[in-house]
Amino acid sequence: MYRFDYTDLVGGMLLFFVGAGVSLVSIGNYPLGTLPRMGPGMFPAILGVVLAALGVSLALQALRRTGSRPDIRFFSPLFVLGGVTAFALTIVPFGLIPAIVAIVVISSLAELRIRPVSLVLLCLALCLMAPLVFVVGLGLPIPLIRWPF
Amino acid sequence: MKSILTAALMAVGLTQPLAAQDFPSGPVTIIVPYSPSGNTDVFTRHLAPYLEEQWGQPVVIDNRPGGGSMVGTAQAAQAKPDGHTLLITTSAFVTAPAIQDALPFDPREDLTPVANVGHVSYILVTNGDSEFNTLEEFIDASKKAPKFAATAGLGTTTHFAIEKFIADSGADVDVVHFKGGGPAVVSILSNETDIYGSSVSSAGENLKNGKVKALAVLGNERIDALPDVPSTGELGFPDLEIKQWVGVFAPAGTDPAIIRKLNADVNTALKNEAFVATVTPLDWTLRESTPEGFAEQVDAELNKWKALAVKQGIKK
Amino acid sequence: MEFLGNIGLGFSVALSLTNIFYCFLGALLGTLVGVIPGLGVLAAISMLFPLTFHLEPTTALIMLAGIWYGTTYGGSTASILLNLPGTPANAVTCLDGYPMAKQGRGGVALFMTTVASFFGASFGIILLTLFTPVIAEYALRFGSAEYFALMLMGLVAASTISEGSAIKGLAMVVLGIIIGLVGMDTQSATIRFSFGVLGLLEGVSLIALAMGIFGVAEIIMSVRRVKTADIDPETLKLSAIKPTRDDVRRSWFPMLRGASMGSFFGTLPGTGPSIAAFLSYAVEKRISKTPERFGKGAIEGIMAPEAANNAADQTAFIPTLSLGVPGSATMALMLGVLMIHGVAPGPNLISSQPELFWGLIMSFWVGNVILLLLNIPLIGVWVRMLTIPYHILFPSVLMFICIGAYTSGFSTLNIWMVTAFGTLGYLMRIFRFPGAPLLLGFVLGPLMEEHFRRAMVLSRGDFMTFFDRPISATIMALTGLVLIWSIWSSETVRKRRAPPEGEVALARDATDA
Repeated sequence: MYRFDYTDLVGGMLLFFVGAGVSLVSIGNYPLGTLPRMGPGMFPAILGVVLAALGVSLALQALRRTGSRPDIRFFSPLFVLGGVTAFALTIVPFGLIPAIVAIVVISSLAELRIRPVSLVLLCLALCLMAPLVFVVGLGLPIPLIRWPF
Repeated sequence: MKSILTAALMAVGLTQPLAAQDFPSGPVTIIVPYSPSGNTDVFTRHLAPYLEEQWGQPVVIDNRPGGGSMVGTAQAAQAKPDGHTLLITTSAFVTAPAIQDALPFDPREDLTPVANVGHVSYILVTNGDSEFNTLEEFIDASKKAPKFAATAGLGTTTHFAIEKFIADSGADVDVVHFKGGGPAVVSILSNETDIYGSSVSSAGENLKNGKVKALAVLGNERIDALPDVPSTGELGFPDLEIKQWVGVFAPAGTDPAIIRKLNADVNTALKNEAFVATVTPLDWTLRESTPEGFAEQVDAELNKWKALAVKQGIKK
Repeated sequence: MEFLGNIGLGFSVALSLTNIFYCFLGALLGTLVGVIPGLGVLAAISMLFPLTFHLEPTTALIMLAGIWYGTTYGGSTASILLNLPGTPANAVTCLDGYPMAKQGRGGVALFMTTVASFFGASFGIILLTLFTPVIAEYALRFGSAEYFALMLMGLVAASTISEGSAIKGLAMVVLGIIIGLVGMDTQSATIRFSFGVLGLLEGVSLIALAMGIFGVAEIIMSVRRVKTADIDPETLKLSAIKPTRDDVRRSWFPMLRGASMGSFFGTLPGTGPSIAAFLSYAVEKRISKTPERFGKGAIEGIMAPEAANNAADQTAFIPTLSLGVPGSATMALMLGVLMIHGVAPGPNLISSQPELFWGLIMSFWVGNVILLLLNIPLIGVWVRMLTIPYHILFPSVLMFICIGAYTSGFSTLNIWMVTAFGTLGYLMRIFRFPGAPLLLGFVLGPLMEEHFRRAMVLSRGDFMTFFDRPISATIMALTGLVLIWSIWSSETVRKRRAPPEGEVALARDATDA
């Protein structure tokens, strides 16, 4: 237990900054227009203010109560998002099969233990199944494997 | 050695005409910058089989709606100029640039007109129970109490048709944009707006059962589908000749020989009786065109709508 | 007569071989997704959505709807056997379902919940068939002011009623609306918040957003925490699923009451199947002569909520199809699917696309019969699904997410967006911000802006237009009441007591449906 609800305090402040940023960008870049003929900047400018206000009230409430530890994880987002990123980087230059291997291997590391046999089997199974479903079954034009150099 | 050289020379010399003769060497993608089941999409889907027949290659229709057709058009402008990616779009191609600054392409530089295939007419419609029965009554009423006109979206041909009508008739009308023809017709049905420049097909059933009524046909002649509705030309507005045309474009840089072949093949398809029989009931008037003629038309209309946009002050 | 003609038209569409096949596929996938805890219906629909790109809109919708109501059927399995709700809507089924399983009556519970599900769904479909056209006809009188008011009410209700913190819910709605504004503004052709990326001209991809916030973030939070199940196969033999005469006698009225309550709450914005199930359980317990049996394996305690959540699944389509205003995040996703397929939802949908509308509704019958057939004889198969280890499941799911994102437009931009929204979803979990209101805001935001601006043009800039028009004024007043009530109640609840753990979890998950 903490003295304040720090999770909501930080969350509220983040909302405030996002809201303020959206309003400033809208006012700075897009015409506001008039009420009968609203321009493209009016709606986001108002929303930004509303978001910022909600953020402030959340942060203020957080000061009036105690809070618990937030559920922060480090390795799972690293490997899961890393796997998705690896897929994005490999799919176009190298094709579908290398991209599947990349995402399966990297995201599996989020388990923080390596099961070599089951991992290889999973890769093989998915590399067989995904082309069957997407390329053969649905006829989507994705190259299975390619070498860019 | 000598034979290789000859072969190479022949290859170089023959490349240009061969490209057109061999065209198409694979599936042809036609980008339609509108949603499936819209006017343009339906037309293209009817046309595609007749092009497939001539080319012996599949024709894939790729709907890329958004930004009042500008999203799909931008995508076509960036495609490889080998004739295997084409664009079929409407007169929004010439109206939208008149009001949009930040277009991600240049309509004159980045796309080459291939063929203008035909048009549909617009009719000015109002609610079936409304108090005015003629266009004149509507114009007079609007001068006493301002009215609202619906459009199918900013920069669409329906938008410019209404703006031109306002400019020429002096009616006091505020323009309200809707997202597509469907919602615009609903706004007429719900009495939220008072007038809309609709195609015959999007007014459709509602026109037949009297929920909306047609005040005039935009243009100088009446149309076969509605023989009793006067044209705006008869009513004293000779410059309201506004049609929604549909045209074929290719990315700029496409081999002129391929452009000519595409134009010829499209014109052949348009003459096919089975095709004519399917699209005529949808109020399509088909026409033949040359790439050069269509290019001139596009250029002239780009200037015309730009001038109207400036005059009416609709540039944001 | 016209009515019968429409029903006939609907069946002729729904009973085409293609549509039966995709309906079957949807129901099958839905059951699968429902059975496996930790794989939500939102993530599932957005993951499987790219598979429907190449289908006719009607067929695509039939399949996606099959996934939606299929999960609720499947979800009860995990609730009963593992005490882990397969979907939030099945959470309350745990309370009496799991005790039944421990008494060796798991088979009976699974069989009876399937019957209750079918009963509730049928009830919902009948109401859907009768009322949607009536409401749509009435809604033809609605203008932009009314639509804006309706959407505002939907957003406020969805973000406050079922939420722990009304402020967080509202903040996520607003954030969702802002994300929805990215891209080209339809009223002025200005490009907003795209930061020069051409692919963002069309706006942020709904698929990438849903998959990132619900799929990827869920996986990040579940890795190394989900344990594989251990189930006694004896309770699941076909011979062990026969209910006693007493079970049947006790089930009728709870089913009927559950279905009625579910149908009602399904149509309201912000409530939906989870709340319906929860409340119908509370009602059964309250009116029972033997409330002490509840929580120890009372059959009423599984029949009422399962009838309620399935009825709500069906009636949730009423506002979506008749007004084009979705009441929940899943329905918002359905609406998004319609729009991506180029179908404009709204009061004109029924008259302009009768094949789609009636075909979809009649396919619900087909889907529910398929589910009945799938669930009763195949209970054993579904239960085996519970034993798939998570370390095999999550990389496979991630792969499908990535391929799905890539193929919806063949651009890596969508995969980058999945990464971005996965990160956002993870941050939202840390700060305990709910995801469902964000998705609802994302889909409704651009529509709201459009209607708001149009209402302003039509009233020539008079803001009072929302309060002068009677229908709009009524809706605005209701919205105000919901807002005041929710802020007041969340304050008083917080001051008075900390709610019991189970209820908090339920309330937190409720909008996920």
